[in-house]
Amino acid sequence: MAGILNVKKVCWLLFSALFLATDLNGERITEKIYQRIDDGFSCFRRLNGTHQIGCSSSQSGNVGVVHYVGTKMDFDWLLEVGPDAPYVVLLPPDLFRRENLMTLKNSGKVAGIVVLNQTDTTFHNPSPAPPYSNDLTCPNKITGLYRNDAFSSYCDSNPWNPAGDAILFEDFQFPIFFINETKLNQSVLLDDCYLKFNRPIEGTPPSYPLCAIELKAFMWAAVDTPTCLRRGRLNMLLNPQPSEYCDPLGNVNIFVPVLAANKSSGPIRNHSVIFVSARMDSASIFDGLSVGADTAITGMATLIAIADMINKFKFNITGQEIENVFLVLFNGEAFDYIGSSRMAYDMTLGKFPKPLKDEIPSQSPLIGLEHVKYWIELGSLAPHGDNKIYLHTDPKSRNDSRVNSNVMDLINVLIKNKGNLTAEPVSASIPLPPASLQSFLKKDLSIPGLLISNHKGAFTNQFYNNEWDTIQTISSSKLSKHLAEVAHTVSAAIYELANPGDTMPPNIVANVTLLESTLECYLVNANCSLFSWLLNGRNNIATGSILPTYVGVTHGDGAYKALSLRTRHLLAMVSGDPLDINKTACINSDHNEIYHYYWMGEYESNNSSGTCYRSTVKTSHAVSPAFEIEDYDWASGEYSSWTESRWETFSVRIFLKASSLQAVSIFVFGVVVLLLSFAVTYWVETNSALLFPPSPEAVAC
Amino acid sequence: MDIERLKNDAKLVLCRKYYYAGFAFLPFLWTINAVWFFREAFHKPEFDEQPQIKQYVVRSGIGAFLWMMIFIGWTCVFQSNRAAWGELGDQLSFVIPRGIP
Repeated sequence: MAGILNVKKVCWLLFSALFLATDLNGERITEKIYQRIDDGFSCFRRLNGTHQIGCSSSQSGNVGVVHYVGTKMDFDWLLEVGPDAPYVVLLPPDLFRRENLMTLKNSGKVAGIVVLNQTDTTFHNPSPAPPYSNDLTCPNKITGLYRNDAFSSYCDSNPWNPAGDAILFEDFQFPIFFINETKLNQSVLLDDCYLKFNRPIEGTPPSYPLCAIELKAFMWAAVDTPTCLRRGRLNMLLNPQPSEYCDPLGNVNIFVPVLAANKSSGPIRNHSVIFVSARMDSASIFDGLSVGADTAITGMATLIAIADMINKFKFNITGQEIENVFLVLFNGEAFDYIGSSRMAYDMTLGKFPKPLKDEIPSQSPLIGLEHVKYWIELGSLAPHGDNKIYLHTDPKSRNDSRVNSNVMDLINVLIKNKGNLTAEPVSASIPLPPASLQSFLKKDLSIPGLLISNHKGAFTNQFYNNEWDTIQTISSSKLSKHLAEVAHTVSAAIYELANPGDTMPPNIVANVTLLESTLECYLVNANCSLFSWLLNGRNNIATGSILPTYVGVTHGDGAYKALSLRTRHLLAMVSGDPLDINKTACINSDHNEIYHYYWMGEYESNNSSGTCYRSTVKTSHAVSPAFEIEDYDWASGEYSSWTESRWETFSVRIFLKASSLQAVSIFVFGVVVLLLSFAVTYWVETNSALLFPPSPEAVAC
Repeated sequence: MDIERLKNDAKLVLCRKYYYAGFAFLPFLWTINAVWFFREAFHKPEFDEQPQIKQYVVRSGIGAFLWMMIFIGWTCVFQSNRAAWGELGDQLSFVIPRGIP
């Protein structure tokens, strides 16, 4: 008995020593095998009435051997030799172009693509050679104003976006990630993975083990919008774990009626409201990478500067000529005019700004399309070497002589107030470029309107709806000054339209500081003092990050999404009236459908105590009417039908992959050991009497 | 339940009950009947009720086989056509797959 105990003790000691020697810690096996790579932005799936676009991996993720393609030779090697398919291709941003993508897609050898953006220490990287746009050559054509008429062919021969390669609308059956790596640290993907294990030497394929990567971006939705909505609906009925498959794209439009009007003073006159609009969204293939510097932000920042100026003379708008000015920021315009088409739809149904209800005393009067006197839209406005702006108009509406003369009046008053700018009206026979105004003209051709932009023909913005449309591509010493001049021109024109024969007082000037801070917050660093001021220090954004302008989906209230929230507060600040009341009184004020009260500027690190702003800023749904209309014909193209697939997670991780021969032999070895252990157990069982002779001592115990 | 303990006439009653109950669109009952009474019907030394039990077992077996053919046939038709049927395919599905047509 004592002998047996001793043997046990020795065994324990031996085992313990063995475990201690082999680094006994709680690391999980997955962590030993895989190395996660964060800082990735993934391509995802969107769907419209008839198609699916974007990317998806398989449910368990796509795995491929890493191969870096930097030159034409690498391409040829991959396509002609490349024995270890499937591959995941690492591409520098400059090679992420349509022809390369299509070659890879059609080769059948590729399980995924990683755009490897190697930045320097300041996270800046020279953008790929322009022009580069992933949108269509004629963006938003199918839902635009000219989709069924003779003007639709204009864009085919004179494309607005000639650089557009339509990659955004391509359907990839594999995942695509955009990964930033600083050159400062040794690159994990390039140095530790590709160069160390996978680089073919003089064309000879590398030997195993090879560095492989797993890309996971599994999309739930498929086919098209009606299919995924229907599946979500059916799934909600039956499945014990109900969930939607896709969500309509949507957010909020943000608008400011410069003057607060109450429905009690009666309906407003027809043709008595000036609208100034801009868009606040852009798009890219990758989730979280859509700055939209020139696509959206230049126009938006100018509109904010205009709001600031108009606020200074709003009481000079007496109501004789015009009763109100609406400043509008549209959302979702990149995806077939979601925001503007919804506002136009609401206007025609008498639901804008809000449907009138007798029980609510404080409501704005209804605004319909017939109330619009002029429409001024701000497009891309970054100066490209000169100080020119172009005034685009719509030939269809100008067929009508009354509309035409109104448009001419508008053009003339803008040119009269152009200041240092050169304002050039584009020929009246040329249709409008992609513009929110198209959605309104589609409903009512009697609206006199124009689009102010920085291009005459094709876009001067070389990165329209692309992840490289950033501050670097529009940055110039003249930028904010130029936008300030545009803001001045538009404000002065509005002043003159409101007070014919009078000119805007010279003491009202555009606030260049405000413009610069706006551009900084939206384009350089969202953790900026302006945003912190607006949100009382609760900005909570990492330094150096930029908020994506992609419209997103309609979960919850869009008014509280990061970008919408900040923009709404910014507009409330520039267009609101500061009140002399304390925080409690401000928060408990009568928030109604005319006024909202914003407590801003209570900013600890700034030691400022805060101010209450009474503001007329409002939001309205920017969700396509297609999702409101029962039995909407999804193939009609009348309204935007875009939805975004749901997904559970994006993940990227690398690991070493053994050759299939080694993998199979290990498996076979395992099976042999298993069978052998069965045999041994069986033999021991049948011969137990031989091995363990019945011991009288044990019985005694 | 161990049918060995039953008397032969009780076995016949039970087998008949299963056979008739199977007509209520219960092919599994027929399957069980065919398997359960197989020994009674074909391997036991002859007894009075055996021919009848044999008849029920054979019929249950044929019925179960036909049902199985129908099930397999429908499964093949459904799985290969679900995506093409579109809305109907989704309505006939309990678990609607993610990420595929």
